[in-house]
Amino acid sequence: MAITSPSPAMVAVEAVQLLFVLLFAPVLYGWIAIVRAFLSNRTPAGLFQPWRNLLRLFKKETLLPEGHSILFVLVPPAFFSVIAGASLLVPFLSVSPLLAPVADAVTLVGLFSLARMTMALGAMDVGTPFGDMGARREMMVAFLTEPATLMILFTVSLWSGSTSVPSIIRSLSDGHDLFHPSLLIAALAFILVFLGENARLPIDNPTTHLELTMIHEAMLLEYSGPLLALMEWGSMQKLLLYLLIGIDFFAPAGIPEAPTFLSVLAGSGILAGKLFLLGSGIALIESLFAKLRIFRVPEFTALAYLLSTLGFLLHFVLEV
Amino acid sequence: MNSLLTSPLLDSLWILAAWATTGLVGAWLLLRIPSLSRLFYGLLALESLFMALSGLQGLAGRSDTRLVLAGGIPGLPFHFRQDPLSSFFLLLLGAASVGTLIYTGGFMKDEPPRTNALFLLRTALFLSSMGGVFLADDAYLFMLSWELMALVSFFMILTDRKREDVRRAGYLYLLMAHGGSLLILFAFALLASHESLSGPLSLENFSFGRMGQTILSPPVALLVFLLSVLGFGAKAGILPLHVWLPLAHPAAPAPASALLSGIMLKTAVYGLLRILFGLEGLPQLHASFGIGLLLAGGVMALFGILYALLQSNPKSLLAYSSIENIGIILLGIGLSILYLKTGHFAAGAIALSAALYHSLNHAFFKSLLFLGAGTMVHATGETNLNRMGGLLHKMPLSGLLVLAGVLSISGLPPTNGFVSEWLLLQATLQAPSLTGTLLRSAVLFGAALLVLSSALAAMGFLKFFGIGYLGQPRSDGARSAHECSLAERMGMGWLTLGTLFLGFFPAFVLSGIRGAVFSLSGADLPSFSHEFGWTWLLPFPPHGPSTSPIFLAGLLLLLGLPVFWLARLPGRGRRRVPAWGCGTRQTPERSQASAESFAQPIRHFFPVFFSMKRHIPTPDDPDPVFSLAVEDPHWPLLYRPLFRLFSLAAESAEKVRTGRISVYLVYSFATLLFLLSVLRWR
Repeated sequence: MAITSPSPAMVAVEAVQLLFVLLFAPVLYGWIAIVRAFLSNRTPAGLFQPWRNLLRLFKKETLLPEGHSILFVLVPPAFFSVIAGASLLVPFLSVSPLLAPVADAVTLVGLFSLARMTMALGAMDVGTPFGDMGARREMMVAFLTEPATLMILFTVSLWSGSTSVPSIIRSLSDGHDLFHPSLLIAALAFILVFLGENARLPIDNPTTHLELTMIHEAMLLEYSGPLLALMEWGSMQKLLLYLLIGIDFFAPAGIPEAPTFLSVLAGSGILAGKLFLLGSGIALIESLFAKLRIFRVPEFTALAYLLSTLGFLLHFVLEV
Repeated sequence: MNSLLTSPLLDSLWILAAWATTGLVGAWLLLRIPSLSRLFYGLLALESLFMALSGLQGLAGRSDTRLVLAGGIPGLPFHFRQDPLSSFFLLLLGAASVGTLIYTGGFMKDEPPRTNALFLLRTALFLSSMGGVFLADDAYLFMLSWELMALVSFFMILTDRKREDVRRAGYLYLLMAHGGSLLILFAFALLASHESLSGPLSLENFSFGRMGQTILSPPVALLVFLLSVLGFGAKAGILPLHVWLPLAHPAAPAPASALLSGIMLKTAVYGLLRILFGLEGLPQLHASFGIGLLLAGGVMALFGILYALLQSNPKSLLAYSSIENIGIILLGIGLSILYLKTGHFAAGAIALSAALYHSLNHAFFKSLLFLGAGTMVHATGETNLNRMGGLLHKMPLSGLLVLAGVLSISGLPPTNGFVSEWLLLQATLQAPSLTGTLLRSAVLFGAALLVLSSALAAMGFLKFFGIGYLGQPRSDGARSAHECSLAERMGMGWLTLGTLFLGFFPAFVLSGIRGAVFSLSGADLPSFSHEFGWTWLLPFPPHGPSTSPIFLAGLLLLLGLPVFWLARLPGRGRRRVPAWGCGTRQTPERSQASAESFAQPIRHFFPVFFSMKRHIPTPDDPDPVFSLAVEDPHWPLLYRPLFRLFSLAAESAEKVRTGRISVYLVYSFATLLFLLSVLRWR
């Protein structure tokens, strides 16, 4: 599949996609915090609090720990650009954006694991016990969520017979009125994977200040200033991108086919609505569940892996 | 059939001879003038480069040439043949060994002249015997090269022969290698003797050309399949026959490990492909053979990487990871047999090219990592990851080269490990076109194991790099580590360049692999005709998935540069402070993660795979010692009972030995009577 000659509209859609992810990711984070505060009877800090935090971090001085190597400074920009790159490749404002053929769904999952690996390398660079622990725990979560993600996307790709995301969206949005048990199970597995990959409760508490229970935060302990801001901003984008991939696979209705100004505008409206809804759902899950003991985490992620494999199998048994 | 003069076969044969001559002359001269060592390794590397070119030429022209030379045994002269499959493996041999040979020049420079000369000789003979395996076209020449390769590699493992563990590892390797050779020989015998239906049995039947025309009954076909899988599996480290691998690699010097793991394991892959697709032939295989190989490969991959994760010695970690990678290759071969036998030629071709692609990838990144492990051991004088750490400060360039290898072997885009994994996953996704739940579930199971083991590989190699190169030094050896020599860095640099090329330009590589796949299976990959076809991994018809590693890399670079600038630009400068570490003021050296603690979640989560002996002291123990020993379960469950059985049998056989000549005379008399009665009965 070749990149067709780029029309200005398609280039514009790509630019809007990138901007959307860059600007909206912290807002979504703020929204989840607002709903959580509302559910626990607290006064929320406002929709733009994550943005204010990021800007404050960008203005701060960078503290570099003694004994760091060049990797320590290279990791945040690398992590950030891998995630931002993914926002050009995931279709959400047009079914088939210009750069979508560059990476199919398998490559997208690969990009996320590249991002994870860079972050873990940065965490282990200084050699503080908490950084090492965070990296180890992150990999412990990931070694089951990553295969689960791949199995989920194999399941959704069975209708189109191809792992290219645009063709998955097309095959799922037309002729899709039947009830598919395999998709249901895959969606369930995706929720578990989402929680595990993005360091949300019940796997990891994003607002924790207790170092011993940290996973994601433990990896960032040595970072400060703009470097920390890049890591945090990248993680926020990662959460948004996971939701967008989930929308692509399980609720693709409303993603515009043709990149016209009005359809993109309408599409982003619908998308924002879906995202606010999903954000509320995350907040609800986070309010209802307590954090799992760290040794129970692999059971949780193994469930995700098992469910995703089951979804794949169910397709063969029931739906072909 | 091309004419001999235009074909690369003659060049390849000349290079085999050149390797051997360089080795012999070089060893003789090195004993007298030791300073010439780098020159001779450079010469070998140059010859390897020519071998790679010859392989490339053979692949590009899809030439298939045979040559019969006098020699061999009466009635069976030496048959040589270079077809696309041989060319592919010769390319692998040449291209990957260039880096290792350049490296060896620097690695061996401080060794005593005798060791150095012997190592040069063994390396050269090893290379030319492996080339002989790839070029042999009859069973005798094949076995001759195969055994020479086994013997020379045995002596390469024994380089440091004064150490007890080295001798044990070498002995075990020799045992496995010879057991495997017997099985292979038996498979050849079955293939050769079954043709005698049409004519008298002659030695000429042992040429591969004749063997390829045999008609086997299904049970014999199965037997040949099993014999060749086990026989070549003993060399490739297939699951219960892998026990020599994790012992031999830490025992051998780094360049020997790189050649053994990077290239010699591929001779087994080549042999398996040659027997299954070439001699037994696709029509005589059965889809269930594919299922068997697929499942065996999947289990091997998972087992290998789980054990790799637990290792504290970087070289045993890499050895177990070789088991994983060979598992992935076998999985691909099994998948291709399954698809080809059920009539899905495109999918079968993709699976087979994924297996070949992964062989090539593994040759590069595993050699690179073994050489990297060699520099780690050389620089620190330690063999345990727990006594390394912080090496990236001391060895920045070689550290970054190793990092490239680590990212590739973890299968992360846009590296070459990702390319072969992607191809294999695409092949498994063709499962819906199969009929029957058994076939589909087998493919699904293979896919599930594949993705699980590749995710675990990322964790294992994060451990390898994170404990070894990152953090702070854990021992005096690590504190006084030094960057390796220029030749070593150049050798590793060559392998890194190869790895990057394989990752960024998969279409070029696949266009070469296509020839080998076509000659094996008669199936072809989708064509690469459109504009900018070379940037894509595999254009599927009509609007299928593809991916473009080079675009991806460009995109990441394009985005990364401004972000890097953004990270450096604003704020109020930067300051160097003691590491925060949540307020602990001790030096982090002792509180860093150890190799064991890094793998602890895995040990906790997969207890069934490991046979662990753990001792946890009680609180009132005056002399508390914590100990944990993890052993490969194949030792207590299979090998030690087997050894006990053997020694028991040997001891009971001892009873007949009394030491009195009269009893021995009775034995001979009884035997004579028995033989005579057998003759009489006939």
